[in-house]
Amino acid sequence: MLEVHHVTKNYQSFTALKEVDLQFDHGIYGLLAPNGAGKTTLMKMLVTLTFPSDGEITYNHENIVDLGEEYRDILGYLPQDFGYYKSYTAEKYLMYIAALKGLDKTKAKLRIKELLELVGLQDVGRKKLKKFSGGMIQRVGVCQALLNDPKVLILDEPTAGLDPKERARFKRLLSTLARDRIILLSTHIVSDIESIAKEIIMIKDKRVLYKKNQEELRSLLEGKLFEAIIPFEDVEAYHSKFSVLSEKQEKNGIKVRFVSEQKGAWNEVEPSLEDVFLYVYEEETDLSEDRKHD
Amino acid sequence: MIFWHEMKKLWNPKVLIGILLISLFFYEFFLSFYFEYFPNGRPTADMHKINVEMIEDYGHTLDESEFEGVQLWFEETNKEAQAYLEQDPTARELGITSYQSLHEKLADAEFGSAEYKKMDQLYSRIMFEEEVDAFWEIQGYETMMRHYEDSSTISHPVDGIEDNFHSILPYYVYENFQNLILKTGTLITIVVSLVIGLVHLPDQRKNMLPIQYVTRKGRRLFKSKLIASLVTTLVVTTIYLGAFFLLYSQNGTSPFFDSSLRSFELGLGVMFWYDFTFGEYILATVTIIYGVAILSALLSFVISRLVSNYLALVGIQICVTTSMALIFSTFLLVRLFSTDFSLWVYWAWIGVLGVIGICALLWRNRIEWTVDVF
Repeated sequence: MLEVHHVTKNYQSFTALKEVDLQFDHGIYGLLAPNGAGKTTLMKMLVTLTFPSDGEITYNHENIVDLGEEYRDILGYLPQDFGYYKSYTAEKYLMYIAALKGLDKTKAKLRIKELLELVGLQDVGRKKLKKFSGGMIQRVGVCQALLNDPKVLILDEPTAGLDPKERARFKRLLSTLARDRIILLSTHIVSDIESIAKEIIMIKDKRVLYKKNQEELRSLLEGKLFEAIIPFEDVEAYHSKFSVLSEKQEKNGIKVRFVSEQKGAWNEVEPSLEDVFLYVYEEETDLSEDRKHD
Repeated sequence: MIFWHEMKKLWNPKVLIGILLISLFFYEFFLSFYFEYFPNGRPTADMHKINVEMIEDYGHTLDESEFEGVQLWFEETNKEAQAYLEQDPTARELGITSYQSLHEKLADAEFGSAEYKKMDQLYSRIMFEEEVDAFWEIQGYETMMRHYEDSSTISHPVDGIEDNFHSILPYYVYENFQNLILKTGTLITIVVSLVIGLVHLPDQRKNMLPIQYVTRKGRRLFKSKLIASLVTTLVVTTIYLGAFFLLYSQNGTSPFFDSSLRSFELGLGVMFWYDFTFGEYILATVTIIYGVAILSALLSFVISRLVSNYLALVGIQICVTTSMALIFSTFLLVRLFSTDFSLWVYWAWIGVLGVIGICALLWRNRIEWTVDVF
């Protein structure tokens, strides 16, 4: 079990995360938060790239920093915008990472073949990475993370650059892998984790706001989410009165999806994970919208 | 094995081509002269011949009785010059019978007079048109013999240095080696700094660290890179010194390798704390070059980990290599262990430079285990 105990991370006077407590057992965990919320900071601490300013992270009740090599031996990590050598072939690059992971040459060759097949790159293993598309590079990144058959797999925005077909394939792959390992996947795209995550972690104001399964998260908006078709001139009034999560132009007006504590003459709808995400991060969403208008 | 992966990255063909071009440029502009023009002109070339003959006949030292033998060679050469002048109608007309009288009369003649012009033409013909060996050799003998005689006046400015300064090691041999080894040492420092400067930065720029540092090897990669850097430094230094000595062997100075630095020619200009032979002195400079190459490698290794862009790397490397070149040219390769400085100054500097390299490495190594990687 991977546990985060009261972890705070400061960068000089700036606090990136505050008193975070989390536990991870087998399965897929989705780390959902807008950009800049501290997802990457948490992940970097989980993979020992950065260290908590306060608190500790343990694996099977031992501090991961003290475990050192033993912990990293069961760790797979795909960073956001991961590095690679353009002049290397996919196989050569993976051989290098395999050497860093302590795999012997023969075992590494077999494992690389197996993984390239798994991600559909078996025919381009000997091509240089500079000829790869963004999606292909991302798949090579997934391969490197899986080289040592990790017990803890941490993926930072892993679906970036993947097309819908690749995303679907990737989700299937993760579901298969999750049977006997911990997978923590960070994203700001709700659909990436909606169907596969055992639990969703939401970070807000530098703290963990929720760590719940999807049902529990959806229940937060149970009986509070409505849809209504309203005239254009009423849109502003709805915005000031309710939390409007989405708007859609219809023939006879605007269809708004909003949260209200009181019931009215509106259609009550089933909340989705996306609704919860938009509701929780309403301020950030609005702010980002404002910035766009600027 | 990760060591070989790191070695392959260091021995990047593009970098190798770069350093090859720099080396060729450096050779052409700073080194080739000292190989192509040694001994440089006459009478140095004649002196070289005489010095080599002296070693062949008398060994690496020249005592008083052997010096008398050399004086006989000088007389023989004077006779050759006289025979030449006896055959020459202009010399006969001017009453010049020897090299010495040619010099004296030329000095006494009124500048611009008909007699002066004739004598000047005769001198130019003998020395520069016909290049009569005997006349050049006389100049060489005179210089060498004057130095030998003057060596008895060499005072011993430093306690503990007692020598008769009878060793045969000409100044031009020492000077030529000094010029060559200074430039070669500087070139090696530049090359090592360039190659090792690229050990961390490209990985950092390519955002490789987050992948490398979460592997089993993790932060120990720093040590693997260090070993690859030191091996590369030793290989590069050895290749460059090998190439240098291959070229240097063409200068024909090997007869002097067993001659003491406390020679009658060097003793007048430079005195050494240690009674090294020229060969031992060469070995000492080679040791210094290996040491400074390793120091440059350690500094470049640490700098490469600290900087975040190539411009900063180049800027800092220029400062480091310039400092090394200054240290080399002040006392660590040029006039190494000479009495220009107290003996402890050399050892103190060697110690200080060693401590700087080791401290920089230990400091970064300690930080490496706790530093945040972004």
